[in-house]
Amino acid sequence: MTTSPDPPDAPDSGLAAERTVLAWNRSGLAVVVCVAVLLRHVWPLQGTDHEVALGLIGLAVIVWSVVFAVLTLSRGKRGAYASHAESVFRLITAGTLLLAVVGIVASFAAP
Amino acid sequence: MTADAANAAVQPSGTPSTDGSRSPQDVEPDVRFTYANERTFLAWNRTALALIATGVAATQLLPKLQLQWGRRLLGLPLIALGAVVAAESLRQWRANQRAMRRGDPLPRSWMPLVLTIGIVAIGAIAVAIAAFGTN
Repeated sequence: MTTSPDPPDAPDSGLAAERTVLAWNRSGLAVVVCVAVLLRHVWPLQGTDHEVALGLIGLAVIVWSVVFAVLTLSRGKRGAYASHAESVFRLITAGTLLLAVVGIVASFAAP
Repeated sequence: MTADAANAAVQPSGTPSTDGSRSPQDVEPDVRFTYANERTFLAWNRTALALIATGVAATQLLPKLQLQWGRRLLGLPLIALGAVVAAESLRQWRANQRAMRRGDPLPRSWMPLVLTIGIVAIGAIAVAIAAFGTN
């Protein structure tokens, strides 16, 4: 993941940007773990399913990184952050709610 | 971070608003406060993911309990609490960002209280299952 450039006329953000990048990384790892737990128990992996599951997790990581990169790049442009951040955080919340719904459905499908 | 500190550090050359939640008088807060608000959102979202993953693990990994629906009784409230935390974290991020732009005091967050009550309630369910749900 890339570090975020501050807008040219913004005050020095010190280590805040670095802490934020680390927070994004932790959140990305949490998403991967949650998706892996769900996949492992919703989907009885057989044969080449392992590779497909790994591919899906990899795809989730790529989507996460792209979303983060879009938000990071928008920090350098005036007015872009507000609109991008709203969309990105809404997407993250929707994804988390989707995982919750899948978890609830899976709990009823449990043997 | 206090709202006063955020207000004092508002960038003088702020960007006028264009989206519905912002007025022309709004200015972008100090980038450090924007970062802090973003990290807070991410931390709450991680908490939500942890609750959901724990709920899924409770329904799928625990051995069958004597009590019918015992695993679901434990796991579903965890997943539901995770969903509430996720939805509320977005609302809280939005409210904080709006308050900082407008120079208003930061709104009070009920999430720590909701989370505490939820976890205590789920803990009580676990104790009740352990006490009455086994032979």
